[in-house]
Amino acid sequence: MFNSINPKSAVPIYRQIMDQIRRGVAAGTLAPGDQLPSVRELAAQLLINPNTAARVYRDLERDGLLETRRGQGTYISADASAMAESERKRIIAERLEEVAREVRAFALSEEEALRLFRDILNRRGGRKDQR
Amino acid sequence: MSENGCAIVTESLTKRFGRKLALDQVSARVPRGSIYGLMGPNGAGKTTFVRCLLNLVNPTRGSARVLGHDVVRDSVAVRQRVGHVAALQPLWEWMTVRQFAEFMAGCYPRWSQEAVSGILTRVGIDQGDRLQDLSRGQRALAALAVAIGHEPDLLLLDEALTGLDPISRREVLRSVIDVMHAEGRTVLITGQDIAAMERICDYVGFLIKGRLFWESPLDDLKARVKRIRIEHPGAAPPEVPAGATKVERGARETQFTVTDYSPGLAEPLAGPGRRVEVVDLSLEDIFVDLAQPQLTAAGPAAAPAQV
Amino acid sequence: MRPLIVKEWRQSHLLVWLGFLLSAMIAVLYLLWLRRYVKTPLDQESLDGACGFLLLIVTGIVILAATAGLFPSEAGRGTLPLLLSLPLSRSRIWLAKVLAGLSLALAASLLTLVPDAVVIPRALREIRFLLYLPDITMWGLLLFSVTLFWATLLRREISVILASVALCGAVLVTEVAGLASGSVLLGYDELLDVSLWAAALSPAFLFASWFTFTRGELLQARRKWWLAVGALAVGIAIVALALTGASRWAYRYQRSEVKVLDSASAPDNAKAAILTTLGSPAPFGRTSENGWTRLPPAHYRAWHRVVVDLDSGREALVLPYSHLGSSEIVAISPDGRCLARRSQTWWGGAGALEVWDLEKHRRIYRGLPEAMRRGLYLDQGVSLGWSPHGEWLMIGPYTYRVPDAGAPAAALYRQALCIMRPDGSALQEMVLDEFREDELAGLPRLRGVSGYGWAADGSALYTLEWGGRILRRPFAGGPAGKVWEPPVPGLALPAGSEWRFHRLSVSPTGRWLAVSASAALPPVEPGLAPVLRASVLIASDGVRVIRLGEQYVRQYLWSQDERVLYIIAAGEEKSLSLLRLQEGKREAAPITLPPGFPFGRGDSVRAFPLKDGGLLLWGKQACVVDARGRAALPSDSRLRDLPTQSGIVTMDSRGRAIVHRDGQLDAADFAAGTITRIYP
Repeated sequence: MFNSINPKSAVPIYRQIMDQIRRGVAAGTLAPGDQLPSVRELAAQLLINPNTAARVYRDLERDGLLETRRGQGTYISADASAMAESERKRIIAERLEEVAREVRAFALSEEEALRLFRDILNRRGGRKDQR
Repeated sequence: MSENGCAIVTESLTKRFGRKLALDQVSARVPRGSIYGLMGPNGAGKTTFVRCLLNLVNPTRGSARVLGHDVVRDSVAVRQRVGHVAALQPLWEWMTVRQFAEFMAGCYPRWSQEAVSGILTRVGIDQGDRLQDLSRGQRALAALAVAIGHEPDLLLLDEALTGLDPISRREVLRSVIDVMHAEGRTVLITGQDIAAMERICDYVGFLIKGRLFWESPLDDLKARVKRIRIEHPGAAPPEVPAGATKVERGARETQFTVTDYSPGLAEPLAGPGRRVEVVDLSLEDIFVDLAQPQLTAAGPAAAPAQV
Repeated sequence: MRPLIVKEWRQSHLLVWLGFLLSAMIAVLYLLWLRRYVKTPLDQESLDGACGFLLLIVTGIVILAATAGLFPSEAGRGTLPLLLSLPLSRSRIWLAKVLAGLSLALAASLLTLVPDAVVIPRALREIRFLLYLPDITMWGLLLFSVTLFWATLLRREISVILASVALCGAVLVTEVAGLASGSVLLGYDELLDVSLWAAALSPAFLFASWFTFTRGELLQARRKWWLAVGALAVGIAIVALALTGASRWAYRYQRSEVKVLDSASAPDNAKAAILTTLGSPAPFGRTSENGWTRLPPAHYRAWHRVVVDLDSGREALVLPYSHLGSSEIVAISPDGRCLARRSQTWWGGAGALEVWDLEKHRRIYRGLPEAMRRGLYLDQGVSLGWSPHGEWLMIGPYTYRVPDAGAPAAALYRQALCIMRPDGSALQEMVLDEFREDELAGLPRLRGVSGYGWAADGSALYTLEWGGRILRRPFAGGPAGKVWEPPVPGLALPAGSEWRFHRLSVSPTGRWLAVSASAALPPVEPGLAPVLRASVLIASDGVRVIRLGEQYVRQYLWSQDERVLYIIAAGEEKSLSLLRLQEGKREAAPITLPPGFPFGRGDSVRAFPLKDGGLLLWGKQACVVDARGRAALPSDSRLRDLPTQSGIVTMDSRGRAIVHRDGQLDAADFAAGTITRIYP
């Protein structure tokens, strides 16, 4: 269910997995109450360090996205849906940060950059509904 | 890093074979519960290091403690709690897998035949086959299965992935990860399969010419070693900060690798007419960038950089 | 540790069965060869020895097969790192290997010995199969240890096998060389002791092997050799010290019985006698202040030659006596000052000649001059003899073949003897005769000197030559002088008969020479050929002939003052007669012996001249002939029945009969009627 991670990427492995889970929650593919694989299964599936898998779950649990039920496993928490909206925004904001950096670096004007963005968005079509 | 939290602690471990210096004052710390990757080119001393830990060779100078036991004085206790798989290590070829497992079971106080059989059945090795009839990948897996049979607290994999086909390599990694699940188990992997190590190691150490010249968590390594690219068409070439390696200067572009990157490092380099880019490096790139100057330089490796 | 042993069994049992098969084959072939090609029936000792040799080889093969591969198999396969990474200390791993090898070797040895025990006694009767078992066990132990030592050092089985055989061979050669050199320090005389020393070296090799395995860098070949050799040297030193110390201790506290098993000899009127004893003599401690030779203690089971001074009853010398296989000849000089010993090594080498000075308590000569070698090689039981006052030592006579230039058909033989001073100087070979092989019979013709006697002043030898001439051969050089030659005066022989001479005897002062002569007369009737016999007495002032009828002389005995000559003569059947010839008389008068005193050829009676001119006869009882020729049994039953309890050694210079029993020497004075203990 998880995409394979890219060890060579600049993004640490734990971040990659966390992002995948966050994206899943944001996109709605991971709904509250869905069970996630155990730490061991996750590590075995992705061929990663179990400590890393444990860290992912620990951080997400700390952020409120996951909850561990003793003896039963790890699940998407009920509050997750509430965070979905903020998650989506957060993800896009991250991306926009990068774009903004590049825009500034290449000394593109703000208007040009916004025009570019609108063109691409229109080309993409996408969801008309805002919520 | 406190010593108590370490599965392996060496203090200036030195090993000399006649005139050849195989290990040069290696002071390593392998934390408990971690997967530690010891990387280095051929002949760097990785196998010698592992052999010192098992007391197959006696250190010339320095000391080492494994799981709290001195490797020389309590070597039997060490070997009782440590599992060892060495690449292409000759086994008693005439034995069947079952006989080999039974032999090992008789030598250790604890033995879990289910753990052994679990791996063997999962990868489809018939216990009645003789070791000499197994393929290379099956041999490695059989050796690994038997090595974890006595529930070791530390697993030493010396070039265990070398020469394996991709499927066997995955199976070995998978088995290692499965084993790691138990509380507090530590794994030390040595070798040159950097891609595999990148996946599963959380600590790395670089061994060149017998010297441990880098040791840190993998994430730290990746966070601190970056390549800086500065494009300066028309402007004057920037100064390269001290300590940078692998400097490449072009007419309009300068690149170099730094080992102490922090976000504040790039800012002083920016300026009018300059564009600074910070490139993340893969573990392989990092290793090559750091190791090459050491290899080409004459004499022993430089002093290690530690966390 | 047990899995290791089981693994060794599984891994090497095939090799061991191969060794077992090989040794079984060898055993069968050897037995066949023994049956087929060894025609003359072997004596018991050789037969046992042959069997022991076979068993040694067979067990050796099996031990080599079991042990040679213990470590090289791991080194060869590269499984040493795997072995050493087991959770066992190196000592345990080494011990497991040793136990595996030992059990394999034992099992296979038993398997070879059991069928051999059944087959060999059937094939070769009278063989004492188990006799050499202790030796085989001990040499087997040494072979096992040596093989283990080499197995720890070398990487290939074949090198281990060759090195082990070489080293064990070297040990055997060294020990035997030590034996041959008569080294008293090592002190062993028997094959069993050689084996004991071999077994004693085993711990040294085991220690060296253990030390190298546990301390050496096994994955590199470097320091291993230094460690191994060093440990071995230390081990051997410790073993040598321990054994020497142990034997010293055993010697000091050993109180074994001293038994005279074979009273050696003493010349007449001797001043000292030689006893051959088994067991240790009285400790030296009490004699150290007198400057006696302190010899290193010999093994407590050794045989000794003890020289006892008959006047004082003290020990003059103690020599370990090597009786391994061959004979040793000892002779003491009449004045009691020197002892000569010729010993021969068990493999038949020429051996050595030694002369000991009993007054200075040290050896004054040791060697084997070229001239002597020839005679000694022929193993004729070459005798040693001293001149009357101990000035010369004579070796021989002996006969040998002379290397001939041109090699004619009949070989040339020479009869000679060697003379030398006690310290080895003035050595000369005196050639007595030379003669060719008999062309028809292929044997040296019976020729040469048939009797000899010392001149009283010890400066010359009287020899009875072929043909009856008596020559006087001086030692200091100069030509031999003729003393007498046939014909016998006063006795004419019919045509066709000729005199033959034998048994030369010289009187104590040399005034008289007695020689026996016999001639075959023409047959009176078919089958009846009478013989004429006579004794010829030669003195400077004339020759006397004493006729003896049909009796021939067995022994001449001169009284001390030379006024009486006793002749022991043999007649028909088994009878002996004792004749007495008084000075001036023409006929020898027979002496009537007391009834019940058996005096026949089978009765082994010895006769000794007494100081008063009488004779002591020593048979089943003692009988004394007085100065006037009357024989009577002593009234004292102790003296009369002395021969039943003791054996006689000699008559000493005081006229006492020296007798021995169970390591004790007594002096029986028949004149005074006393028996005194003189030793110990």
